[in-house]
Formats: sequence, structure tokens, C-alpha cells
Amino acid sequence: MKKSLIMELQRLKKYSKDYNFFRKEIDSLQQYLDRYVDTYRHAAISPEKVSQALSISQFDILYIFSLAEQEHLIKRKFLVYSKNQDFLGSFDSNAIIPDELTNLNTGQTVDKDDFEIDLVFETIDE
Amino acid sequence: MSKSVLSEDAKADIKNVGISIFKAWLEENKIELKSKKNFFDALELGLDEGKITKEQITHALCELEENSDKKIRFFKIKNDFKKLLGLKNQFLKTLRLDHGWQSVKNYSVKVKAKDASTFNYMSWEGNTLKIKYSEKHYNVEADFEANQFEKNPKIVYIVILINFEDGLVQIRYDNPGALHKHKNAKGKPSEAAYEKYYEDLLMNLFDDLNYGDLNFVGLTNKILNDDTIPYRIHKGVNTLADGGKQMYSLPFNMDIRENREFQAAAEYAEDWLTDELSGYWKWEDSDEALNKDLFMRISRKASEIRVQRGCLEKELNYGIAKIKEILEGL
Repeated sequence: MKKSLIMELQRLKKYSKDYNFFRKEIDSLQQYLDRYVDTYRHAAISPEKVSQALSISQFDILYIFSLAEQEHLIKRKFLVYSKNQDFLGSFDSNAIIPDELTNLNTGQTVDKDDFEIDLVFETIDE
Repeated sequence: MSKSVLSEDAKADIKNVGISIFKAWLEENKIELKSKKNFFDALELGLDEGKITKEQITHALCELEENSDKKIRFFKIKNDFKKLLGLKNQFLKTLRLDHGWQSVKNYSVKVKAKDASTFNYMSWEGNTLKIKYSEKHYNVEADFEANQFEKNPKIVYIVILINFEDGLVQIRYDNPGALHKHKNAKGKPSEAAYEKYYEDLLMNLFDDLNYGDLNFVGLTNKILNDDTIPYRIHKGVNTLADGGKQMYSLPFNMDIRENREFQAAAEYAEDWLTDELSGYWKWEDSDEALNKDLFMRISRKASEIRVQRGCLEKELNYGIAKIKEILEGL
């Protein structure tokens, strides 16, 4: 995660002109993510966690993140785990997650009914 | 020889909830039966002597079926639910016209389950509407010598509860059997399809009501980070800052937060998302609301909890009240 890129979150303020909101949210999100960048080498930002930490609704966080995605600042990832927390795979879109995945730890096939899917946002490396 | 005879169905139902658990209910309700080698003989004698009535047996069975060994999914009414309370008659009318249901006394009806979803009863007591269903599922055992499969029936109970006072909605499920009527896209019985069936049923009960998931993100994190909450965590799963998972699992009587390795990792707890906690509400801090430590698994993602076999109504109510209290304080 490159700090220079995540700092550009301020670029999103151009959208505020159209909608006249989110300026405050973008600032607090910027602050939050800056700390993340300093603390972790790689961060997968969970909208639920940010929403809880900043008391901004998940809907608003997702909206801001999709704008940031439009600006190529971040990209979404779908991390698929089994119910017992074995990692099964990472996908760029929900639509391409297969109906079945192999759990390499057990060799068994896991059906999509038993997937635990986490939506996270990662920054795009320079 | 007792004059009163328990039906085979009643005996099967008692075995289904568990004889020791049924006895715990009798003890809780201060019903003392004479000691007999066979519990059913003692129960029939109790009926003869008027120490227990058939209505009480039905009550006990219903209470245990609806509270013990359940997975409970939570939702929240999104409408202004305080206004909804005044519409009770209108809701009852909708249920009568759409389904032909009449409200009866809570815990008063036992219905023989069919393979398909079977309506048991509906009640509206206090501010809570309850709708109970049952289904007959099957577990399968292979007899390799005889080259055949044996299907063992298992009755599962599903309860929908809508509280119009606090807007809390619950669907309580039993674990499904291996064979049942709810199939996935491939035509195989699936737990997800079984749960979805009742979720859809809830969503379609009233046109004007909207439901959202009850958000457990704050709840699980609060319990993990606040040791004044009387809940002992013996297992915890967290999502880390890079999206990975971390699990700590200790014996039932230990708390992960007292573990030194966990304490070292917990320096970063601020950036974790607590996915799942398993542990016990402590009996000693419950002001006698609990008869024993109450097991509860709390899962953030699905907004659901699980309670163990033998959980009584007052114990489950205590656990849910604690969750509500924490959520309200966030």
C-alpha cells in the first residue's frame, strides 16, 4: 500500500461539489487510512470496520469507496474462507467466485453454501 | 399400574428434547415426581396423582423445543416500530386472512410434524408475535452388510419471533437433518436453503414491514475488549488488518484474554474485526437468572447466536437481554 496513492483520497472531494456532502467523512477516512498505512505493510480495508471506527454508515463508506475505485485509488477484493477459517481464494468480483472451491488444507471440496466471503478494499500498487 | 398413559408420540417428543433436560425443566418449575426406574412410569404416576398435568407436559415440551439447542438469526424492524404496536389487530387480521391463523396461548399446542414445513401455532403475548413450525428431517445411517441405508427421523422446530416493543426479530432454527425438502440449485438438501425458506416466510408475512440485519460488529468487538461484561470467551476468531484470520481456542473454563500470547497480539486489537466468539455467560454474575453458565456462540457476520442443548427460556432470555443491553450502550 503506497501512502502517496492513499493520500489522493482528497481527490474525491470533487464529487462533493455535485452532492454537497462527504467532505467531513473523506477527511476522517483519510486520517484513519494514513494510520493504517503507517502501521501495516499491506492492508485490506474492511468497510464494516471503518464504519464502526468512524461512526459513518456502511452504506456511505461503500459509496465513498466506490468513488475511490472509480478514481483507481483502491480495488475491491472478495476473500473467500471456509466456515473453519481456511483461506480458499481471492477474487476481483463476486460474479467470478466459483460454486465450489477446494480447501487445500483438507483436500475437500467446499460448496458455496459454506463459503464465508469478506469484501475488502486494497490500494493499487504503483 | 398408572391409569394415565402417555402416548408414544409424547414419549418420542420427550426423548427428542432429552429426558435429563425435561427433568431440569421439572426441577425449575418445582414439580417433584416420585423416583421410578423408568422416567415415563414416574411421569404417568405424577399425572395420576395430579402433580403434573398434560398441559404442563405440552408447555415443557414447547418451551424446550423453542429455546434449547437453537441457532438464532437476528433482524431488526426498520420501520418506526413503536407505532406498529397499535396495529396489533390489523396484523392479526392479515395473518387470519392470508393464512387462516388464530392466536392461541403460548406453549399450548403440539402438532405432529410432516416432511414438509408444518405450521404448529401462532401466539401474541405481551408485545411479541410468535409463529412456530416443525419439519420431519432424516439422518442417514449406512448398513454396509445389508447393503442398505437406514433413515432415522429427526423433528426440527423453527420459531419466528417479532417483538414490536424493541423491533427485535428472531428466527430460531434447529440443526437440519441430512435429508429434507429444502434443496439447493443442484437439487441437494441444503442448510442454506432450509434457512432461506423461513427467512422468506418472515419477509413475506407483512407487506409494510422492512427488516435489516442486526449489526453485531460493535457487539463482538465490545465483548472482546470489555472484561467487565460477564462473558468468558474460550474461543475467538478475528479478521486482521490484512484480511487474514486469527483464532484462539482454549478449554471451556479459560478465557483467551488471560492468555499471554493473546495479550501480545491484542495490541493490534483496535484494527481487528471480531468475527466469532464462543463462551459462557457467567452464572455467578447473573442474579440467579441462570441455573448454570450459559454457553453462547456469537457470530458477527450472520447476526446469529447459538445456544446449547438444555437452555431454558429464562436463560436464553437473559443471554438475549445482555446482548440488547450491550447493543444499546454502543
